[in-house]
Amino acid sequence: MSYVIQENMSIERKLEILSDAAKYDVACTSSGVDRAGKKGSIGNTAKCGICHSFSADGRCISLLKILLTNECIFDCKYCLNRASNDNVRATFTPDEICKLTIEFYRRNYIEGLFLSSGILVSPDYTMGLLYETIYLLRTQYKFNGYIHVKGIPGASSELIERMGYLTDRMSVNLELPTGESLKKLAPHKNRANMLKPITQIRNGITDNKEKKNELVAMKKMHLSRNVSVPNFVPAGQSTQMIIGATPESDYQIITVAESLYNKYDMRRVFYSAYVPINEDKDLPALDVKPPLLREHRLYQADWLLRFYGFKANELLDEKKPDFNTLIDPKCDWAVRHLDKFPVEINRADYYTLLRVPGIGVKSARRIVSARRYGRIDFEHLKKMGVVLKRAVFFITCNGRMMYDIKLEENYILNNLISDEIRNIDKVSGDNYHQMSIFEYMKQGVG
Amino acid sequence: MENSRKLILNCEDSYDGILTAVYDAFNYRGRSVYITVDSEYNFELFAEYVEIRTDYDKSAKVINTIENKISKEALYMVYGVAISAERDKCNVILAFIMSGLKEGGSITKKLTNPYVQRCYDIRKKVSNEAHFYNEILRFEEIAGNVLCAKISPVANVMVSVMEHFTDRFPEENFLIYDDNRRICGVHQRSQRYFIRENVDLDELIYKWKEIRCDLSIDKSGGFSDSYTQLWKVFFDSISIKERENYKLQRNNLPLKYRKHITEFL
Repeated sequence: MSYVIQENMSIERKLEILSDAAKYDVACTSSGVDRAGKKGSIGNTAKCGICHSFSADGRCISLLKILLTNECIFDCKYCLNRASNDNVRATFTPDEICKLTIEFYRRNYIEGLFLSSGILVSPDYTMGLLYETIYLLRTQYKFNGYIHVKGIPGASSELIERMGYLTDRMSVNLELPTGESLKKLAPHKNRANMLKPITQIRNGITDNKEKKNELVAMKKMHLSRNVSVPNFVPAGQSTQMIIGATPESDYQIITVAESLYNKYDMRRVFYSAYVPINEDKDLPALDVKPPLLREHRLYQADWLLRFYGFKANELLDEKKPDFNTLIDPKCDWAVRHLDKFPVEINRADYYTLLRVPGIGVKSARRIVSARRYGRIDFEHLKKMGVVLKRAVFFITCNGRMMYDIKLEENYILNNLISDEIRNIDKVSGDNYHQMSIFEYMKQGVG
Repeated sequence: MENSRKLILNCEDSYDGILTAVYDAFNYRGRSVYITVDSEYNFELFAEYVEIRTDYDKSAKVINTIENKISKEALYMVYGVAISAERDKCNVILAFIMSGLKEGGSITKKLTNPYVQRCYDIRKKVSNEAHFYNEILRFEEIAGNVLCAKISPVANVMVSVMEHFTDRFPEENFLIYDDNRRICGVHQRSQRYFIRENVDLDELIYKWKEIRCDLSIDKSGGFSDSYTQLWKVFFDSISIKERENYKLQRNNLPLKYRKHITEFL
């Protein structure tokens, strides 16, 4: 690795290099925390998140996503910035990052800063630089907007804690779904080392919440006034895994995600379809396309875990370890559990409604509240946002199905797939052709 | 005979204008009253037209009545519908208020009432658009630390947009110009914002630069802000080539909204 200091590099060139190097990080959300603007400073945050633009790959741009430096002492095989790669290296000064953030923010290009970094000298040294930058941005530049910073595994716990009080979200990347894969592809990293800061941040958030609750209770009893507890990572922590670089099954991946949600109180787990950058015997070949559809299915399953009350082992198991890419995981589940259907809209409880394909969180809530005032029929469902195209196979209204439908696996599956082809087209960007029933039968789906 | 004729109240296309018409509509009880806004020059045969002059006392009375006799939520609803660009909005508001006065605060929950349903739909559309402009509005810096943005919303979302940016940038001077309505939101450092009507933005900026003796910037409307270029560089390099998907990009950010977005200019 070269330590050529590039003093003459223009800010434009640096931005080009260091945003290009940061683009494989998925998390670009600005949601999770509501903070009003403050006199004398710049910025506020919105709970729903605000995303400002969409890049040519269709992903949202919400934050100024950059690396502090793309120099790195580590040599992870999947990474663009690994030490053994010969590419142009650049490093921002803290001042440059602050100025860029503020000026982009003022023009409403971005919602805040997403700062990550290659490992310069040592994890501690790098974390120190990150801290210095964020401290400057919050104090001297009086930036009150959204900040997301990567926690560097191996950095001292004191630095991580201090960083937590300045940022809205922190994330430590798990990089790969299992420890074995990590050992193979990232020889300098290990799972235990990564879980340490994740655990620390989780504990910090829990303590912070408890303290806040205590304060609220004290204030109610008029015991203390004008005291406040500073926020610690108020928008929670997230992590990400690379999908398709290693042989893990979808079942393994969502099981890991589930335990991250349950044990570590993660706000989000992101999945990143592996884009081949480096040539290596342990990696997929360079001409392999990123598995975008698989990534899409994993995100759908992730939503089912977080909002729909599904468990990982309900969606998949050892016998069926991967999702059917032609159909979304919820439809897939429903078709394999036809004994639970049809569901009566006017009687079924909230969680049963949630399991019907075509009914989401919002429409399920609307159904539950609207049926108190009167009986619901199919025409009402449409207005409530239920996707009848999918739901008709699984529901009855007042004991009646909408059409004369056989509850038969192949028939329903065929209908659902022919509808899904268009969505697949959108996700993968390829042009899938309309599938004929003969092809479908040849593949033996289901 | 006279009373059976359709009566159409023609009012100004503003919140207060419409509420004034609602107030006057109550003077014509027993007749079939319709309200239109003056931007629609489509007159009907065999109908009686009455021009309504916006009267802030009358609209204030209506606002009070809605808040006290129906609910605050209902008032928000009426406001959301009034700033929309839907053709049937005035009559929806009138019908909504009438049923609200009959049924009280619970009216906002009665989605089976077609007018309430329509109110919800319109208001949702409007608030979506307002939020959308919080996302895609782009400022450019013109001389002397003043930020300037142009928007072309369908509904009149200026107030909501100004509220958002006033909270966000308390220490900035900025202008937001709606080129569909020729209105301009103005915020000065640490002050409350105001909205000016009938503004010619180019003229305004030119005059202002004259005062500051700063005419170096080209008159074509471009401001030559150096961060525009940096932003375009970032915008291009943050995209992953192997994942390029313009269909998805257009889905998320339709072409019709890109008129004033820096990175697409």
